Amino acid sequence: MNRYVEAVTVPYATADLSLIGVSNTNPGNPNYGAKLQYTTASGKALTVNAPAFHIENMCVRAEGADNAIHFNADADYAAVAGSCGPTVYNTVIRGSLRGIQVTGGYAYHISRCRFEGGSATDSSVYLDGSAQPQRRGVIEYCYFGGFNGALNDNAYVRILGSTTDFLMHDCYFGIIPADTHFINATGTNLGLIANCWFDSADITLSTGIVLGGITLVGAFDATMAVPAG
Amino acid sequence: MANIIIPKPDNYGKTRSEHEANLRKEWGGTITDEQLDRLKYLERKIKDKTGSTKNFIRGQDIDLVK
Repeated sequence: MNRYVEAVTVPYATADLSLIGVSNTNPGNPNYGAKLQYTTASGKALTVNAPAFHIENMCVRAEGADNAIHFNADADYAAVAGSCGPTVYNTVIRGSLRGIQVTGGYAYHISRCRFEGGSATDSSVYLDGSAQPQRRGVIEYCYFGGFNGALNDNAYVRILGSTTDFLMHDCYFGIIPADTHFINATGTNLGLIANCWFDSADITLSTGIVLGGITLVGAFDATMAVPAG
Repeated sequence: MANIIIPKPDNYGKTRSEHEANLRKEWGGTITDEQLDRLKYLERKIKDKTGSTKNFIRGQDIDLVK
């Protein structure tokens, strides 16, 4: 197991790079593969300023960090465009602070990842469309849970509108965080959450999932029914 | 702070399966044997369809092959 204690920044003029973890034991389980950890000085593990960045088979630590991974953007994507088309695949985000932050941007794709929070003071996925609207993001086949048995404090997924054409499907959410939200979307949003499972006896839309304009279909709690508003 | 250093392109090969073969010789692997089979299938299909022998396929697409 290799651990890199660095605050990595991917500069703007380097589009379409990939960061893929290599393992000599088990490439299918990034928990024991290549690991990127924050530095105390920076507080972040990975800041992406380049478009179309791809991450695969990595474990990124979010302990003591502002974000494990930040897909960043400036106002007009002229010098910072990390949130334009980033992809994250088969990656573990582990630790107690904010996991992946996407600021503005287009067409991010987060697929088959595990988010292991735990006594978190922030969300595992933080989608910020408050300064620039966020378009066409996809989160699929992900697992959101705690870490070492600790409860998350905040919603696993936090959406700050405006976003449009947001899609989340086939995701699994572990025990409900202390603030009672699995997903918390505020602002003006359009999108779909479909076929997701929530570890709760009986969630309601007013607490467990705050939709903020997003449509919910096929969401299941212990009663196997779409939650009532 | 550290910046990612970009090596010469095609350092490990023109396709991901060539990368994989070279990585396995030197370090370890990025995908399982089953995923490698799927990857080679995709590369063959791309070559048949487009004639291109240079591509890099991401994990999402490898696992879409049934």
